[in-house]
Amino acid sequence: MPTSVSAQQDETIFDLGKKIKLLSHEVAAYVSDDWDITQKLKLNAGLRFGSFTQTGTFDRYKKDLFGKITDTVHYTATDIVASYNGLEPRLSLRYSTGKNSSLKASYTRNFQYIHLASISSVSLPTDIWMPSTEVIKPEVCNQYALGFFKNLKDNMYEASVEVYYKTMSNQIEYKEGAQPTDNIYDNPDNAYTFGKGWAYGAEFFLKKSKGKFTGWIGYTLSWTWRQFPEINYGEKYLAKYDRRHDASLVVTYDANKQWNFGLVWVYGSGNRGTLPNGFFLYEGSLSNDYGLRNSYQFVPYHRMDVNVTYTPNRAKKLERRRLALIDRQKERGLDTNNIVVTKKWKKNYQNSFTLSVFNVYNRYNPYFIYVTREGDFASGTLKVGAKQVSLFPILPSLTWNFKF
Amino acid sequence: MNRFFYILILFFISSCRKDVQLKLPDYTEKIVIEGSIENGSPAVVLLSYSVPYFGDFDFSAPQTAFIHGALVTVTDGTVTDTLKEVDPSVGYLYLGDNLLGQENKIYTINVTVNGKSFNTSTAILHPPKLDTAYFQQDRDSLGLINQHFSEPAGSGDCYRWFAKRLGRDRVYVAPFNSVFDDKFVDGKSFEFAYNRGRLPNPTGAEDPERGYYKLGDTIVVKFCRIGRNEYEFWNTYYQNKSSNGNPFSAPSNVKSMFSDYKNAFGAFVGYAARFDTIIMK
Repeated sequence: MPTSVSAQQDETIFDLGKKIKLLSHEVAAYVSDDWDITQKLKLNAGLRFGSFTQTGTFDRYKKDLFGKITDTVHYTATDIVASYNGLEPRLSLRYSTGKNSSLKASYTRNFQYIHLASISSVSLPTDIWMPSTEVIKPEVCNQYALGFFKNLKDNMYEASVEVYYKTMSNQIEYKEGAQPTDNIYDNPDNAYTFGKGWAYGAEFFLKKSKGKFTGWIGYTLSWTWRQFPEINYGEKYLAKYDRRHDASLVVTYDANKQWNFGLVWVYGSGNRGTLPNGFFLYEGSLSNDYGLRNSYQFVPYHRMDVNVTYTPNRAKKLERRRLALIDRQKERGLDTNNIVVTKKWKKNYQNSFTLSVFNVYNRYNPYFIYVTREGDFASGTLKVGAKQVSLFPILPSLTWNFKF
Repeated sequence: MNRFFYILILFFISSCRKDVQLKLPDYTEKIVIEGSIENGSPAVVLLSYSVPYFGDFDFSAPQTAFIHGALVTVTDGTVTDTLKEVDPSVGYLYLGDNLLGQENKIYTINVTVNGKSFNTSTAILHPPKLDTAYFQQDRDSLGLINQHFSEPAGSGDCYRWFAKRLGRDRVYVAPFNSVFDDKFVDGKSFEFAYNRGRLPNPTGAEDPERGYYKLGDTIVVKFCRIGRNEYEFWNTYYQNKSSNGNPFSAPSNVKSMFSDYKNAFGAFVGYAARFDTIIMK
């Protein structure tokens, strides 16, 4: 944890607590079995047992209602601070509805003992994964899914439709107005607040796996909700990664042995974030009034990548080499009957060239958006605006692959 | 090659950031309550409406956001004071009439605007005492006020600091981040100094003394003890100001002292104030 801070003024050393380290262990065991109940009905059942323990050394600061530290509980290296365990069953039923079709139903329960909480609306490499502690309980997720799968035209096409519903408990977020200094002389888990989540949606999938044209197309319609007593006035809100529409298209065209073309297109509804959407005046100065949590939706993310691969024909090349040798022999007036292409040329050497273009139509997908304020309202020169920062414009690349 | 490299860099930089038009969700204006009461003074309350971010509000005429005709009362449990709206030429305020703040008393405010009422309570605690305060010259004739303070042990107290240049400032001005609690300094003796706070400047002119006090000035320091909720309000207020829409910080709404924060937010702060006069020499 980034908690190593010290401060001193002359003889006075400020009390910033100890550097905080969180130590934990996780063990798990898993068994599963397949059972053919009838010829048409098959069951796959699994059971996972997981256990997670936070151990010392660790200091827990006890606080009163006013946030005042009243006591510190010390744990030594042999002490167990918090321990959790749970059974995670998973069941999947498959019922054959015909020669090429089946109905599948599944239930899965998962425990997650480490948690990602992001202080900002931007995903950064500095986001911290927190282990479960006395305060942070393991996240539990129950997922129910039902799907229909069918293969068409002699397995040339695979198609499926699936619906799911998911509940999540012990979700974790930073409290409103959490600050990095909250970690200092405090347990970092006190900066978090906990709530629940649920998600549901439907997935549609079609794949073509035979022929010159292959590829797949997928579409997902989904909702992801969160509800925290201490966030958004306790009202439910859409999660940061809520994605109403998600579509992917992948196409490959094998023109011949030399030329191969590929295209990928992805589309996703924009992420959600919290932006200021009002102003208020206080002590003669202007401040931002943030909207409801994640009430702003970014513009959709979409991108197309294309690639073309050329694989030189090895046999043709060898033939050209042989003819070249014959010509040379002829020029020298030598016998051309026993021309042998040397071993060097016959080695099992393969190569290919790939030209690919990432983000071919140079879409500026938003990485994050921020609001800007210029001038001063008191002098009547205030101007507000918004800026979007994007990563990765159109990026062409050339690759040479070789195998020897 | 070099030129190509620079063009490439330029291409990347220019493609990274652009102005965008945001379609923000519909905004419902809220009532903003800025209230305080301190020992020896009547309650002062300013009411205004918040405005949409990309609205057509004329910021050169902020007075149009102020709320007139509201019913504002403050009570200590025995006496109820109905605040009077003062002449706009003085400054759009609701001012107490027959109730002066006293130490160790709890005050409840009730604001009624268009039939809706909002209330909260605050206490005036015991005023804190600075050990010493002196002028520390920094550059030329400018400097800051250094103060020595012995924080009482085990109290969980919170503080706010203001200052006023006699004859130069109209009101006591609180600098940025003018609040602190005793989380790190409980029971310690330490020295602290604040920059000089700024009042809104309608001329927009550069202030050569910005952040500093000047040799020869007479400064009255108002050092106040405040409650935990009041501290939370100011702390989140400053946090909100410093994040200023920064996407890397947690979106921080100000922690209102009024429970109906969907419709109204703000604070009613009891200041236990002690005044010290320092001549800058």
